[in-house]
Amino acid sequence: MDQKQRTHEQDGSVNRDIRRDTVIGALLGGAIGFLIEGNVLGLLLGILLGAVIGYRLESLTPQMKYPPHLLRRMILAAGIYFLVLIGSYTLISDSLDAPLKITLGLAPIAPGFYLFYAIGSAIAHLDELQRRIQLEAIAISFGGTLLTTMSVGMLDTIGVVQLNWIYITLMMSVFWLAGKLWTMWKYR
Amino acid sequence: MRNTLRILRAERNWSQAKLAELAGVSRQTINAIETGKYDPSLNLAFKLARLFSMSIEEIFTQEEDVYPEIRKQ
Repeated sequence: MDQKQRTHEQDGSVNRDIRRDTVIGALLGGAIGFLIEGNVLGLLLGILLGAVIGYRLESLTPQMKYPPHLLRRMILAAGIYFLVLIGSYTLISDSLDAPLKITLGLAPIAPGFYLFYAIGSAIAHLDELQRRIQLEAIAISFGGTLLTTMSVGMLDTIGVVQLNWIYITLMMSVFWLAGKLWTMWKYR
Repeated sequence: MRNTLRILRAERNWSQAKLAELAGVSRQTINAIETGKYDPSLNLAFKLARLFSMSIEEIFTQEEDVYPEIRKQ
């Protein structure tokens, strides 16, 4: 097999993988978007975001990606965490006894620690520039979330807006993603 | 910090991807080092030096002498 043919076959395989991951990303994103928003806009935004993430993931070289088993563990940990979080948020009601309410309220802590562990060990397996990018992205996420929650918290105190704590996780994720994109562009 | 990585790589006809594979890092890392956007860790600098059979000082140099007092001693 000559070099040209081998390269062509390799390119074909990469393209197939990109298509597969883009489709899986779009399907997962669409489902999550629809579950969260419950409308067509959520579905479409989910499909778009999922497709972009899927395409991006498969375009990365091995050293820029999380090892597959650690990525699977991270996705599983995130899934368990959000299921427990949504479950406890849904089940808590005023009619429950105080000890049960406290138990339900603190239930997401255990899967939360597992998620921290899964993310930490996945980041530790990246190459040194990727770890630097993650560190800077986390710093941006921390600063951005701190400033926003402090500002919105002040507006909440004077009654202009109402701060829902559930949005803080979402805010951290958005700032982390923005920070990662910016630092990746900086070291491009 | 300045470096001669791009020249050394070109002399051996290696692509960034090839050097990245040999050093066990991403191509983005090699590119960031070559363009001076990122200074490698000591561990990676040693690894790169070994790949080119050179010392670290032959590949990486400081842009200005930041420790003149120490050098005088």
